[in-house]
Amino acid sequence: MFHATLDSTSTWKQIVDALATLLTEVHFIVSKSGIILRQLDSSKAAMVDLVLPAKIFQEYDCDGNYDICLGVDELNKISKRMAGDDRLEFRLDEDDNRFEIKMIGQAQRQFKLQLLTAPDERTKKPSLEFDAKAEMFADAFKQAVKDIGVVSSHLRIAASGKTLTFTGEGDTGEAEVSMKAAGDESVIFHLEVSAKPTAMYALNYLSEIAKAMSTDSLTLQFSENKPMLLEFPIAEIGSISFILAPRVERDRRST
Amino acid sequence: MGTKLGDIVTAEPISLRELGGRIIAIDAFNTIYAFLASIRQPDGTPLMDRQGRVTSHLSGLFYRNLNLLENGISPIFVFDGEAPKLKAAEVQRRREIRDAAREEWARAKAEGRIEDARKAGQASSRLTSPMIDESKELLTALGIPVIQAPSEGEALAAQMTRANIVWASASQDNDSLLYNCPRMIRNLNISGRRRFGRSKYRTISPEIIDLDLNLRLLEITREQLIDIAILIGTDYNDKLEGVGAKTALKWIKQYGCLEQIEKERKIKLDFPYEEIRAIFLNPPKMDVDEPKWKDPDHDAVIRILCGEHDFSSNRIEKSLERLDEALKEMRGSTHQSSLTDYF
Repeated sequence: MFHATLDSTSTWKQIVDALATLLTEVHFIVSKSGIILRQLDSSKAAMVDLVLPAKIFQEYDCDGNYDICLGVDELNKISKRMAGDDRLEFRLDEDDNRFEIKMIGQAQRQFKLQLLTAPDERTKKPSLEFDAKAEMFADAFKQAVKDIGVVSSHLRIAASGKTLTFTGEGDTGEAEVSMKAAGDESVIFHLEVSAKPTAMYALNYLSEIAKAMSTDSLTLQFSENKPMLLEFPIAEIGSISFILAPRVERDRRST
Repeated sequence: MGTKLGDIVTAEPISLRELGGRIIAIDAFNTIYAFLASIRQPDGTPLMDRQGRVTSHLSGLFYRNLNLLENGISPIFVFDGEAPKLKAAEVQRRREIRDAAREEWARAKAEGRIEDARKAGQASSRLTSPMIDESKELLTALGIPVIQAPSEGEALAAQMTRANIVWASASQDNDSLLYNCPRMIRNLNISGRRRFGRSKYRTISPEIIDLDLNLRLLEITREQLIDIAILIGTDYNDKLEGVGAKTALKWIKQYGCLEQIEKERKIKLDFPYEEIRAIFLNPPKMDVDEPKWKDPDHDAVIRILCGEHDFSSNRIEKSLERLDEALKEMRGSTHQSSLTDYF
């Protein structure tokens, strides 16, 4: 048995938007303590890791562990139908193999989605250590991604001392955005850097993620030529993280 | 050679393009033998220079590595060191097969049995120490790292794959899996059209074998896979008469291990299987430095291939120029890595 209610449609929409950037099928793992999801995108270059503790929901009843696997397109279409002040109710119908989403507002609307077969395997989380960690305004990151996108399809991040630098180069030219973690006006609240890491990531993933996320802040972590982790808070105690594999040099010859 | 696990192992096709940007450890002996066997004339005569020295391996190493490098693959060649003592019988057996094949080859050629001559010629392939030395020399001239393993090359290649120094280990021989290699590639160096019989061809393409996936599919542990291999014969023991991979798998699933098989089926396995297990479970380890690739040294390549062994300098120079072009284009370019590389 699984049943939950959620007062905020914007939280739900944010979750669905975030999942839709990378996935075509979503696989929620529902248990007493809450809902989690961890999946790689089809190219295995990126991972999304969602944690929704039961406390995010106003009501939450779950007496076991369930795999709820759904198509993202359907979920997206339904979430577009939600009105701002609707109250949401979720229920798993085990007999009919359906996931029910109820919107309770001026009218009461109910959608039932056929469950898809859940994959056998659960995705492991890569064990990563980071050389740089920045907590910053999400908007500053979004703007940086757009700036670099003017000239390049890749974004290089470098951190050193109190500065975070985003650069990009393409056939038409170069772009650079740098941010200092100093003073009250800074768009970076907190920056921890050990060593001087630099790494390159595909901009198409980052723009999709930046476009989909509407949180105020985010945490960005990365290491030299290793994956990057972008973490966004969801309803204060929940989170959605994206882990993105770097682009690496094709040519390994030493010069 | 190695263990005939093919019947129970699941492989996925993978293209050279998909392997672009990857570092791959290549089992050098295994690969050079494959070149010696396959790069021959229809009557089984290998490529030779004017002095009658075999050059099939050099031709294979040169053209195949150019192909890998042009696809953005970074190869490392791992050479066998000292073989485990238990391999002596196998080495002796192979030598006898080779000597017999050599005689048969001469006979078949003289009697005009071309197809038999080709087969016997292939089976007579010998790898001598000068050939090993010049192979290393050619690889180094191409800027490709060469590593000398303490014992079996596949054991070190497996260790390097585990340590993420390389992405996968390439061999035709499934022993890599027994050495706990998480990812192995088959057919990397023999892909393309291959001759089967006098005029039959089949296209062979690279395949990737994921150890964990296979163990999950077979519902066994790696230790049990080693026991299966021992039942069907490894380089260190003869097979058990009448037992193939499928039967061995059934037995191991039913009884669990070799000790139980002996007990339950009341048979005696008369080879030192504890010792054989140890070869696969605890091979000699070695620290491996970060491998480095260099620009191909044109002069050195031409000296080895054309100066020493009469390859056409026109063809070799053209190939090297093509390689330079491809490498120049790659310089500074990046490729998207996979998150699974960091698990």
